[in-house]
Amino acid sequence: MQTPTFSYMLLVIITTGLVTWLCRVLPFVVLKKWGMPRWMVDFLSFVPVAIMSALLFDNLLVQHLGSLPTLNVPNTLAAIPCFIAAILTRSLLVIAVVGVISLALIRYIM
Amino acid sequence: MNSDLTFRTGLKDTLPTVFGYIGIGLAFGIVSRAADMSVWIALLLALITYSGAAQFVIVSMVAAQSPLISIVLSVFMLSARMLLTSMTVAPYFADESMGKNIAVGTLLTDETFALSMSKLNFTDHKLSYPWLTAANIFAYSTWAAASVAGNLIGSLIPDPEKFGLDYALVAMFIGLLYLQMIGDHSMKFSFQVELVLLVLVLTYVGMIFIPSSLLVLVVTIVTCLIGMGVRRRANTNI
Repeated sequence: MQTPTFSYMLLVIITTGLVTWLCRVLPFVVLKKWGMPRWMVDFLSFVPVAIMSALLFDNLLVQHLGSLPTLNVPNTLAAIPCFIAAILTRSLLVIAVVGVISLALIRYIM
Repeated sequence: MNSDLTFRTGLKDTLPTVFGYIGIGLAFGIVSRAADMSVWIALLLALITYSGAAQFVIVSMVAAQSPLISIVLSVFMLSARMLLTSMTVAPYFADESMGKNIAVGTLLTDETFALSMSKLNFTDHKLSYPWLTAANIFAYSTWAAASVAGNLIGSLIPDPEKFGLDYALVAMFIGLLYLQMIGDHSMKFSFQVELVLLVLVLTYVGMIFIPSSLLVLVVTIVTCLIGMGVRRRANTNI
């Protein structure tokens, strides 16, 4: 892994900061004047579940461009206690700790 | 919680949610350190990008050397839901000045949004600028402090990979996904499970030919379009 330069990270932070700021503030500014088209509200309502699960599965599979992906076995095994912790506690901190300890144990054993 | 809408009450009402920020902020700080990012980068990400999920995505995408445009687009996809939360809160500040509207919007988070929605049940459907500003500032400063603390703790851990610390990110997505699914009452839980399964299939198939930096974006857009189609068809059938 190559360490990113400070100036590159600054560029990432400023552009993404602009994006998150506009997402937060634009509705306050725009809403009074135009409102949001119905289809966009509809589209956006699916974003949280879609993007979170896409990010999750991206971490559980290993890509081999041109052929089928394979399972990342340690990550997938560690996801099981995380999921149980999510149902039992609903606490992000507990879920994170359970995940970290599970993967550490799995790596130690395998 | 009571009907009080002062700055002081805002701080008091926010206190229980602050522990959530401390937990995720620490996790973010540790993950950022594991990805070789300095405490200054962690602090600036917390202060300027200021979005838990987006910050985790940035760290993992920068580590994977994704192009800037994919990072920005992913953060946009991830932050687009804030258009919805801001849209929901904005009407309660319609009588305030544009400056105050921008100030409230600038620091609004999922959590202060959720807090505002429950506060409405105690205040005869009113919110106030001092109350929400107190909640927002409390959340903002706690988040920054926890991110810095996590980064500093992370640097004391020599080989984070060995301790599974890199997995905090994946665990966070599992937690955020589950909380989203049980918290969003606008969609049936069973429908959300179907969406997750659709994402699994699309990710699996997409991995064959879509580069990983673009995969999450493409899968998300396709899933949203299919979701819209399914909901429209269900609505016209009624």
